[in-house]
Amino acid sequence: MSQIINTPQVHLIGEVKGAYGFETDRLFCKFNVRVGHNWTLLSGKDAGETYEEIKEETEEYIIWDHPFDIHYKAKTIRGWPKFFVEVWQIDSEGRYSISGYGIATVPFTPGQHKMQIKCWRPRPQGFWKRVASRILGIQPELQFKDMLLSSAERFGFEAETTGTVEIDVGVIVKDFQLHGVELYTEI
Amino acid sequence: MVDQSKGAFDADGMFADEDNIDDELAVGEKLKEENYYKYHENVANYDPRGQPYSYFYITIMGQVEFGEFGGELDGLQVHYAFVAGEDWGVSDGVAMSSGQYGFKGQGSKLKKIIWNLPFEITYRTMTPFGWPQIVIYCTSKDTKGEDKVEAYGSIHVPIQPGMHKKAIRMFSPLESNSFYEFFGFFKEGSSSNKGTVHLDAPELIARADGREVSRVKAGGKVTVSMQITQRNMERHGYITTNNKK
Repeated sequence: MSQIINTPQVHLIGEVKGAYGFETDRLFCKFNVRVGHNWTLLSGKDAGETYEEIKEETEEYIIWDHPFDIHYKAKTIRGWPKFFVEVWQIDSEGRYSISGYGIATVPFTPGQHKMQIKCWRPRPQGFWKRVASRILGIQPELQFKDMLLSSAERFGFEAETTGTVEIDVGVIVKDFQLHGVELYTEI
Repeated sequence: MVDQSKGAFDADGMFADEDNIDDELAVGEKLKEENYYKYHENVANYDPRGQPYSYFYITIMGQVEFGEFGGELDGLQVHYAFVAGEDWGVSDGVAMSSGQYGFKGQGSKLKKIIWNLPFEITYRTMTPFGWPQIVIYCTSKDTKGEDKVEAYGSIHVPIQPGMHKKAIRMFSPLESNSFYEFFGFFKEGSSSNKGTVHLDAPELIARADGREVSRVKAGGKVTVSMQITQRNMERHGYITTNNKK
């Protein structure tokens, strides 16, 4: 009996909700979704930049609520979408510096999920550089970001912890069961 | 009974000539455990181009419950608007409506503004791309008696069927030129410090483009409870929840 097998598809629908635990009050976030070679983006934008948000000092949460609606076609499970976020801070003089990098894999199971991406940034090397970072706001940035995305060595460089980015994502999958792939956990 | 003389039982297989299948026999075959996957409708010959034109439906029912705002923000009228992609059409219900002007209570503990504005809408579509978003904006009357937008926010409607209670964080516009350029409308000769912004297009709030040029100040949140029901999504092959029936 002949069968026409459809390529599995994945929809990611949700918001980059916000962040907490960062030391500054003015932040924005640049995010993009990375997939493997066998995945194709069918519709939607997989990259974005949120509002520049100024939060009150009494609040603990920075809110962006940046919506995204992405549609992928998948030929393999390998290369499942990963969120890559870069949080940037603006100081009182208006200078931009990096506040954190983070990466997290989107959950496999269909349904509504809340992802919490813990972020870090490169630590200034040496005592004077650290003083400069505190007083002048000079923060080292990563020049080659490919090392974050692959599991290759990170050359033992020093990183310091910053805050957490929260993303609300809804995952809709189609036709994985036609290929015998079970993404469910409950029966 | 199958007519053996007409060659129904070929050397290749049992039911080589499909027209001669007896209904009773076919049902018996389908119910056998080893044939479970062979005859399951999910692995049936599914070519989307050959299917009859059919939609799947999402029904969103709920209410805008209350809002919590700090400071002197009071006397707010809530409006909701549903915004969805191009392939989505409203099949039943209204996409936009307004509530009443709500004030905080007079006791010291009554800091919430309660609106209780119900909504019910059914969308029909053939693709989940462009999933609906609910845009909430709160307006108040300024000294001239005209509507002034105080806060706005939007989230995607949850994709998982069932009851959901969501808190939508609200933003208030900050006075800056790039913000006025972004929205495109503003009132001239306004008397208040913030400037008056008219919002005729809730889609602009829901869209993600152009956000990097504006600065906003977060203020308050609005709680919305809604329940999502879907129809025909599984027949199209879309799985939106972890619970296998």
